[in-house]
Amino acid sequence: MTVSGRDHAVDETRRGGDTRLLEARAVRVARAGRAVLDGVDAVLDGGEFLGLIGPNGAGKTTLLRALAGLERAAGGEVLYRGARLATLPPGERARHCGYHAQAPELHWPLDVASIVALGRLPHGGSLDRLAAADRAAIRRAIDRTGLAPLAVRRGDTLSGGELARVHMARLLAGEHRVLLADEPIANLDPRYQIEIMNVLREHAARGGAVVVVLHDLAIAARYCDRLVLLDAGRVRASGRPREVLAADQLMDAFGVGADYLALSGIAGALAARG
Amino acid sequence: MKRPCTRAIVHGADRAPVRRGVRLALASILLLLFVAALCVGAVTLSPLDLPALLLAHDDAPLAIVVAQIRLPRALLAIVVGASLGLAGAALQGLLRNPLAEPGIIGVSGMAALAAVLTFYTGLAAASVWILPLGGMLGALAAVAVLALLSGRDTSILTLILAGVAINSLAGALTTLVLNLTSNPFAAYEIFFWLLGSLANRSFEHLLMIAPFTMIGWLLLLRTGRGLDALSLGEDTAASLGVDTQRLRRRVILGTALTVGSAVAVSGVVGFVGLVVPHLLRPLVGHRPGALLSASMLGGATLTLAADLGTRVPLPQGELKLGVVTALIGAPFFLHLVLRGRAR
Repeated sequence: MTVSGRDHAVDETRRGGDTRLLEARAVRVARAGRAVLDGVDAVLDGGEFLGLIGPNGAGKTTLLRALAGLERAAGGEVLYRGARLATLPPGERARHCGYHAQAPELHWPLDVASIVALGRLPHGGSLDRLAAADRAAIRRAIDRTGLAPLAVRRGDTLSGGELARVHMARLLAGEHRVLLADEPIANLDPRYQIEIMNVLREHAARGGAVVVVLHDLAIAARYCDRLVLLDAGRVRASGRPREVLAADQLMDAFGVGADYLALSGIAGALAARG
Repeated sequence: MKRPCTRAIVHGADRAPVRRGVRLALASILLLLFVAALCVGAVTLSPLDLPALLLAHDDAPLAIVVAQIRLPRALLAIVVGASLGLAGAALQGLLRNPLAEPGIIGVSGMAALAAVLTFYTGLAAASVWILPLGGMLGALAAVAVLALLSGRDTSILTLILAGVAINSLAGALTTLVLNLTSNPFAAYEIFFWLLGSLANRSFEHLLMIAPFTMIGWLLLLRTGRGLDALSLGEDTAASLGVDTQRLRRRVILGTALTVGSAVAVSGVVGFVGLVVPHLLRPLVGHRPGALLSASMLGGATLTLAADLGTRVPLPQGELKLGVVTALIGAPFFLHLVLRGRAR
């Protein structure tokens, strides 16, 4: 069925783990004549936690941006619940899909609560007019990421790890159905890596869906339901972590041998999942 | 990790009472300065005499001084200052750069050049709208070039250097045009356009720029949400549903309309758009969106105050408005540059 923007509200009642939320069909993105993504297919269902992995320059960030509607595709299309993402009004797209940039920027030293509050913009609020629902969502996001003690601190007084949690809280405050996060745990110490992955995991468990770009393959093995291994702009492998993180595929994509499986903790993580 | 986040903390993000206080304080100062602007001059009046002088349809010299000379001048200072403050805040929000100011980055200079060209080629005589239109086209050209340059990955330095280049070129060409005219008052006119002044302005000047200025104000005041989102970078802003291209166009057009028309009647009045947002930014929680209306009020206040400063009696005559704002603003600019370097 085709889901247009207008009957979204009706469609929203049909929530369930089996809903196809996002679908990339033969997406091609080119930069300066070079194909960064070369015909990538990917699907994301409700309740799913999908990891994007691959070596540097494989196209992970570009694919995530394409899924967020931020990339002008040279070919193919991205569908959100059957409707072309490119044709959705920007505000509606923003309500459905939240995006966490690889290196989130902060150009002015806003306080933590204001940064988190910016996540409510897709819901029609502005920082001048926050409705009760906006405030409740901001509060939940701040609590969930443990930022309450920092809520009135200025962004430029925070450590890198604290700031990363602020940007995660900003993402959560948007209450999007789909969360797209580009290396959200890159700057975090182990405790907060696990916390953030748990937060994202929880979002998927509640019927949302998450796509996360990860460099830590052990974390990917531990948390993701499904992995997409990108290499040179193409999908090299896609499936359960056990299938994708096979030694020969890692050798082909990353140039690392079987010992890496043990060394990196991937083997242990896969074993722990059973 | 779960700790109670009290209602008060989230409300802490809501600085609405502070912002209202800032606006109220600025408006009060502005009102006081406005009364002072009508009273102070070669003949100093008591504020108590003002109502009678303003309301009387009287040809008494004092009534003419107040109603025909001081009133339009004070109103123009408010309008020009509001435009410069607002445009400075909006440009800084768009370019995410606290040094972006219409005067410093050449927008005012190009507007002055274009206004001078319309004036001294005789085009401006054809219609009252030609002069402000010229100013706006000049400002548009400058701000469009700068916005192109400051695309995704251009540094602050490039922007400032390009602005300085545009500014010097505009200043040189303005001087050249005035030198080439057979205008016996060329030297005086050069001062007027390059240093800015509100002397000898009338209600016609106010009416001439009013429509453009109003549209520009409306355009810029509606960019607050987008500029707030842009604090998190273009990608994140776009992911939050902000049409960043439209936001960019709106700020460029709004700046051209407000600064272009302001410069067409006042010449280049520098640094207002730098000093005012810089002073007010901490008071509004560094939010670019909240800075807009506050800077508008602040710009009007500073410009009116500076214009009062020009009336300090000097044997050689009046100071130029742009000289006063530069005396306040240039040290500020230096301070910002040095602080930026230290970081």
